Amino acid sequence: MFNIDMEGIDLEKTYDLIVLGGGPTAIGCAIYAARFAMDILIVGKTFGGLIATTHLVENYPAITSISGQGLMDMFRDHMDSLKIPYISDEIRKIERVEDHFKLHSFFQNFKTYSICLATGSDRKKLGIPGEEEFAGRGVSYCATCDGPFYKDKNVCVIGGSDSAAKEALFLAQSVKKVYIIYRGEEIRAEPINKKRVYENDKIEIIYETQIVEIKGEGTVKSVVFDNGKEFEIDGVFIEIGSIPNSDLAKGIGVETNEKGEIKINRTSETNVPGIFAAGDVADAPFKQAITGVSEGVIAAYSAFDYVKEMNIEY
Amino acid sequence: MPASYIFKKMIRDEMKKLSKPVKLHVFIDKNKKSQNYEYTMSILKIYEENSNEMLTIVELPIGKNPDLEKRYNIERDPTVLLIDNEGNELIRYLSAPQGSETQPFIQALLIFGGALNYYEPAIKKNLNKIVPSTIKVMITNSCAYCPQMVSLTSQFALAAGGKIRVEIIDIMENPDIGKLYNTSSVPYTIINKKEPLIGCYGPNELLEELIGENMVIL
Repeated sequence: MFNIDMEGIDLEKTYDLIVLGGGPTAIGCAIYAARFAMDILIVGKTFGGLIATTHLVENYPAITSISGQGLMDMFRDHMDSLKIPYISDEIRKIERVEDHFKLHSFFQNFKTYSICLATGSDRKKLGIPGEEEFAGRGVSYCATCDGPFYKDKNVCVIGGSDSAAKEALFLAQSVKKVYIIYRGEEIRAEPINKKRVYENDKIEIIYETQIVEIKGEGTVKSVVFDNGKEFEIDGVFIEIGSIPNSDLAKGIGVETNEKGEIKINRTSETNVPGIFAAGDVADAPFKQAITGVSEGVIAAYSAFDYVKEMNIEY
Repeated sequence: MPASYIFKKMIRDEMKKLSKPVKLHVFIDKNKKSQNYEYTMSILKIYEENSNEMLTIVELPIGKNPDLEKRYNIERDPTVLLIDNEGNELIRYLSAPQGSETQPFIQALLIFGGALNYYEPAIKKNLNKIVPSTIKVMITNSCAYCPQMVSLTSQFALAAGGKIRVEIIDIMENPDIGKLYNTSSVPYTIINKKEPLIGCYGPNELLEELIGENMVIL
């Protein structure tokens, strides 16, 4: 998960590379950077990233099936074997100081010659009445975290992505009934998961429908559809996509696209020399754990090259 | 590799780093002779046995220490307390830490025993702005982000010299508490009876919740 202690962490030195983020992309980058004998540190807000809350990962090549947490345990083990330090913190500002960068958090300041931004994304919210009011009391963004509270109850999953399908399949193991509420005509899950959803008697899909309000008293009791119908339900799981965490990058002049994703080239470079980016925060068209890790590894190599050019002695 | 193997290995590898004596006070109903007693003590003993005699489990049968039970408001069986030298309760566990809670528990013991606390300088700098606070962190064992919330809040408590106390509540073991707060999402954190924080929060956000604006930044 994270460092048990601060052994081996020197907060005064200038690191070769600081990786920002806590998911597989960040750790993949750090693993390769460590193997390049770079002086590195990972600083992340949430160890594990979004994938830690995924019930089942079946598309990480070489691993047939594993929980998201199980996958992150493997990443952690690999990280620990290389003694890569991880600090749970959030950088609020990056500034360029001569030949290096200064990273500011509320708790400490760090210095580094290069940075890899692997800050991932946050779950999108619906932005409808009742969503905030019932957060944690019937509204959830994580089926693996909160599914056990809905045993033998009726829940709905909002969204039509592969993630939404997988959430529904996970919930179906313990709840009474799962309704997938999707605004489109057909869910967009991977064919293998689409088939599983269709074949699961406990899952029913309500197409071309959006939820406009969540209602209840103390806890969620019902949702209101855009056709005006009120629908009784015990839990609402929201899985409608995510927003890239790129505000920190913008602050130092890193370019982003119209979706807020950081623009990178094939060597994971951004427009700012010494700053690299990878994973969900970057602008890849198809985002998966394995693609993020790949970009992170390439970022490590690019950072290694960049720092080598600066003639930093190892 | 079974998860239990990972955590047992973690206990073996990390507990030997404990360099100063630490006492853990365990209030437990021995008379029940229930599975609860045997199970709780067997888990805690694993930590003790791997600590090079640095960790001592102080077993306090409920009903036999009325002054202590009153002082620390012992209402649950078991209640595991980390108490500082001045008698301040820093961290309270309502079940023996296990599974994914192993890591933050060991971390708390090591820091209590003198290891570096990353958040301590900032906490101490802002200590005069922090009112005496109780943080309740509700968790389940299957929650991916719960260990991180436990770790952060525990470290805050360990840095605050008695001004912050943390209660770690596994609500699958204590479902009545989950019902009391209408909790159906974890981690579920309540700071001083304010509106709950749902999900995982970073250390910045937690500190802001504790002291509001005018935070002294290092």
